[in-house]
Amino acid sequence: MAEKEQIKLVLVGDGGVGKTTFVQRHLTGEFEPRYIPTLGVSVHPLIFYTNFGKIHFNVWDTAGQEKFGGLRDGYYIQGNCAIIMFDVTSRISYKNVPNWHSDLTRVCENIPIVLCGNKVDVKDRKVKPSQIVFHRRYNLSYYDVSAKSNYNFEKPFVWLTSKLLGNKAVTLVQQPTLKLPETVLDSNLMSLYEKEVADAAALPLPEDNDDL
Amino acid sequence: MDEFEKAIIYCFDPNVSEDIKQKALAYTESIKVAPEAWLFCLERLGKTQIVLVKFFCLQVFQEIILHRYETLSKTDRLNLRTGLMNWFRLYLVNNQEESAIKNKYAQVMVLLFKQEYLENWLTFFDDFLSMLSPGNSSIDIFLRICKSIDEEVVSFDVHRSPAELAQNTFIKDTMRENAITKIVASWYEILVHHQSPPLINMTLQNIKTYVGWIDISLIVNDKFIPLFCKYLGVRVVRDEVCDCFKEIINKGMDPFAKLTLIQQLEIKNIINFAQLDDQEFNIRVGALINLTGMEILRSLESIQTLQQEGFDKKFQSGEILLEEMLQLLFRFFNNESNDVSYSVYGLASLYVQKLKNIKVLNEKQIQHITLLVQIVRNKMRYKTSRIEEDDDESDIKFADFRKDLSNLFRNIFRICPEMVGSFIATNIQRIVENKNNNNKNKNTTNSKNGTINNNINKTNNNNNNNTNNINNNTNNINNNTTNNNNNNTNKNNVKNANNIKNNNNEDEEDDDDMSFSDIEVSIYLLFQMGEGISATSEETLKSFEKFFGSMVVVLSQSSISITEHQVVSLIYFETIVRYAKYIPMDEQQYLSSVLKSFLDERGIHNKDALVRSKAGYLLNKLAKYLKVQMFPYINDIIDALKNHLIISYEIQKEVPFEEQLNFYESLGFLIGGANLPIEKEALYIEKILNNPIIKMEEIIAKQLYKGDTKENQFYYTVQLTQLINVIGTFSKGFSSFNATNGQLKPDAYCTYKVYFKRSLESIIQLPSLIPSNEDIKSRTFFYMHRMVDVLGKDLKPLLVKILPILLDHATTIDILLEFLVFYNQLISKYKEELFDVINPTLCPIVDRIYKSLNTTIPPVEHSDAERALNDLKKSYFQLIQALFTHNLASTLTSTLNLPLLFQQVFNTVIGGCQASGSHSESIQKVCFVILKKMIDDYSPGGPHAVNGFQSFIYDQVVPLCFQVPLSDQFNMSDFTSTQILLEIGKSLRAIAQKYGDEFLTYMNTILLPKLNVSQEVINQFIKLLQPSSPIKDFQELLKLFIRQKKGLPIKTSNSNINLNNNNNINNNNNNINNNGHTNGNGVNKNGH
Repeated sequence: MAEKEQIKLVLVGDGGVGKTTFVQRHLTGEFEPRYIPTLGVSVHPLIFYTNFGKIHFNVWDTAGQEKFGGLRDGYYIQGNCAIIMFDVTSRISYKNVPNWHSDLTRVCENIPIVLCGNKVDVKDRKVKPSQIVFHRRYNLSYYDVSAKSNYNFEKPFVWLTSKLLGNKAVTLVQQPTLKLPETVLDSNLMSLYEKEVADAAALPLPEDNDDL
Repeated sequence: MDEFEKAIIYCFDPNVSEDIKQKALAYTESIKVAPEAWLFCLERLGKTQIVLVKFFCLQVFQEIILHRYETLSKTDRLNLRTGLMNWFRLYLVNNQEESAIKNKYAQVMVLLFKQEYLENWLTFFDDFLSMLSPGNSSIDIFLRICKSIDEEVVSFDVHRSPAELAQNTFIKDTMRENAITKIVASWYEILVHHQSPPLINMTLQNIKTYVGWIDISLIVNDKFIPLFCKYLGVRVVRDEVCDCFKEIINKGMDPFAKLTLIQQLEIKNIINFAQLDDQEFNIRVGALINLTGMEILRSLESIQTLQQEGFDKKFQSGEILLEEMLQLLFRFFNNESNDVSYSVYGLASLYVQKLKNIKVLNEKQIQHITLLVQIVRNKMRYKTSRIEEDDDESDIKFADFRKDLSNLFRNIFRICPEMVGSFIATNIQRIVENKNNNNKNKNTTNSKNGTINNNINKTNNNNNNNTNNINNNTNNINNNTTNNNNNNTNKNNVKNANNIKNNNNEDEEDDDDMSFSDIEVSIYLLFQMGEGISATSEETLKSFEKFFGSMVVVLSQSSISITEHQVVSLIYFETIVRYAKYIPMDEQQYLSSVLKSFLDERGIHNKDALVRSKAGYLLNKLAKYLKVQMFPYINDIIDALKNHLIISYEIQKEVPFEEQLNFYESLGFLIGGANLPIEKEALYIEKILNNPIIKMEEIIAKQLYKGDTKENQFYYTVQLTQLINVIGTFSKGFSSFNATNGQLKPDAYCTYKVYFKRSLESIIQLPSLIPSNEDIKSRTFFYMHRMVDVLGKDLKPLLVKILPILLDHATTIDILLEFLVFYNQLISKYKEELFDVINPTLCPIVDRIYKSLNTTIPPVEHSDAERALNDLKKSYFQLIQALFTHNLASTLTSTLNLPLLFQQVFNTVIGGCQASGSHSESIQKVCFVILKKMIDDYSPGGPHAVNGFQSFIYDQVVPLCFQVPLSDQFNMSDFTSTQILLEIGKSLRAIAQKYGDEFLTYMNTILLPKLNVSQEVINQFIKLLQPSSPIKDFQELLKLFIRQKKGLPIKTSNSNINLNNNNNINNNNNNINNNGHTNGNGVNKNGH
């Protein structure tokens, strides 16, 4: 993949789950955001330096897109990869993940997609790791993230890069420059979540389709 | 490109400037909201080649159909529908179009379908089917429409309103009436006649998503199944075929229909037909086997339940189907890839779970679990010989998989313990013989000396004995089986298991050496049996105790533990310790060989740090389990641990201090508990303590600690704390008091004291020599605590000198608290014998406490400083209480202390009774308890009567007994307060007993009238304070009195007590009557 190529990354999910906060953690993305206010899309260039060179994502962030429901899947066209984000403190935002996935895959067939559960820094978590199974049905990857604490910020991008490069082993050679964390994580709680995510991945998929 | 198309492109281009973009958006929005938007977009759709423009038009259709459909006239709706169909027929089918457009078109058509199908467009499917033609895109788009129907109408992934769900159900019902058969026919035609893998995959995906809600016979028939089998052989589509089979089997139906379906499908033949040449595909096939097998098990269970309820229908071939699936399970479970194995784990687990509920297994079932045990063993084998420090992801996965396999193994063991026991015994015997033979060969090639030959002969003899033991134990296990058939079956199964194992080992052995992973897994399974044994019967438990013991003997006497493979060493030691209590003790050689493996280069002298550490830890556990049995080996253990016990920086690189501490503790318990002859005990103690004691004395004599700096990390000071620690920890094995009756042991049995006294002489200097080090002080107190138990009465003469030293260096509250804990320990241990020690030291100690408590600046609320002060206050009152509890109250009234101390202590107790604020109730309670003891002790007639104590009683104690419960801070509903009130009642009664009529007169004429108590109540107080009345009655009266004074509701069952004030002084007759009534009731109460 040549350095000059840019990757269109579509960032979708319910309003309020933290998509814009997430994408704004990366400081290079703050320098030249392009906003389409009435279309509800911001395009943030995020750059990562990996063992395969410089990777330039153009992240199409759909802040406020719920006002433009009729046009929302138009900007998916020619997307190379995607992040579907939900809020672990909001059950309805996880219930709507299948809608986002359906809309996304209708326009972008066979692109790598990461599911992210945001706000894991909040103590009152409603969507437990063991309840997150949608990604396993459709071969997505999943990460707990916390935009305000930068927790796991780079992992979705590393995974997507790996997929786009044909499952190569991608590592960051330089950590991205992020905003300072706004909240302090409970590292014990994060370790517990990581273990729960790993344990849940080993369990058989539930038979009925009702995830929550 | 015209204006409209430019505007569309500008809307989606992030690089276009904002002002241009705003104009473009306004323009496109105006088009979108126009009444004729659908017509305009139909025209443009037919003309444009730009993907974004086409997508925009389709979006407009979607918007109109979803949100403005009711505004269209019937004619407009028909025109929209016709226009879209024409675009399909004239354009889409004849051009290569992007997937996004094809998918979006399919979605739009399905949204229209949902609006029109039921009432106006029953020919929807006929219209599309009639246009299908090979060689163009019509089939592709039709399949996408079917997929979109699943997404929009059928799928449960998406949240839908109840109204929409109802409509969707109606649509599905209508489709099933007619359209589905035609759609299925079209699928069949596509699969038969088209060679395009993408189309075949899409068709299979359609079948997969529809099969759950259509008639199963449309798919499971002589036409489709052969096609599926055919495509199972085509690499690019076989994954979808596999998933189709899964969805077919997963369809809901009654158990008879389910089993019939599975029988029809002939899954066994299908899987035998498939080419299992790719791991990902193998995982899918494994998931199919897993699902099929689990469905068979569930259906058979449902049928069994129905039969118990009187249903008499049977399914003849259920067991055959299950057998077929289990054979496939065994193949896949034993696959080289753990991911493939894991794909069928659910079936293995469920099957074993079902077998657990069966009382007597048949021969086939025993065969099955015998095979499963074999497979579990294979899958548990390690790939590498070391556990890596940084956890790799695959290592974590393997550890989790191993945990699941262990679960399965334990369940199998509970079902059929004899079979598993025989299997494990055979495995252990095999690895032992293999290992020993290898070592023998190596020895033979290296030397021709007779000595080595003799050793070999001894080893052979041991092996023969062990073999006999194994056989005996195996027979013993089999004898517990009453069923002869099971007995025969066990033998056959063991034979089968061995055959399988032999085959595996023939493949895996390189040269003559069995791989480390075979050795490790055999021991690991033996280890896991210890977990499974707890859920078996008492009878099985007892028979396996001998089994475990014999296994330990075999392992420890073999060459197994002579290994460079870390995982083998770790599991070897874990297993030995787990079954240590079953080691036969009739011959010493058994325990001897176990200990040797711990004490030589296999264990605590192993080159591998992890093994060395683990062996040390487990040796300490072994010493706890087998303390008595290990007494004869104390000298061997000491010699082996000699280097490990040296307190030095170099040694601690290999043996961390925490491990050294464990060794000292174990040795202390062994030597102290062994009842050794005096000379031998002294010899052992010197072997262990000489080095630490001499080193400590050297550091002190040469003042080496003065050279410590921050750069040196306080090397010698740290070493001193460690030396105190190990000597004190070692002392835990020794006590001057008999463990059973608490009496002092005769001196003849306590010759060890000399060593600890010598250490004490050094240690007690350290707080003075190194005054600013808190660790030194803390360790010194630790050691002093130990000496109370170790030195017994020998410590007492030393205390007069020791206590002032310790007190001098109790300069912080934390250290002072430690001092008080020690002081209280002395008091409770020596009691009145300690008078000569306590008497001269009590005053300085109390003064120190007062000085610490009287801080000029109050500590911040809820701070650590405040907590420390509160703790000190509690410790102080506990000390005072201990003096009374342990017959040392005379120290407060001794000639030395009475003038200086008594008044102050008394005042603090009074103050403690009045304590207020958070967490003060506990102090109040202790102080009232102390006060009661003071009344008993110091009043006239008490053991230590104090002249003039009377004035304390009348001036302070008695008023206090009423002031405190009447204060606002005293909460009557609090449990502690209730207890305090009971204590106050006891105190008042005690005073009445000591001071008699004098006290009663005081209450009658001075105190109670001052509290405005009526004469009737006063009379009751006087009566109940008499020794002749039960104390409970007085306590109850006091409680009622306080409640009444506080204005609280009276809760009483004793209506005879009259607390009402009677102010009616005008009616003399009434007064007389009332008095008489009250007196009468009193008399009656007393009479009762």
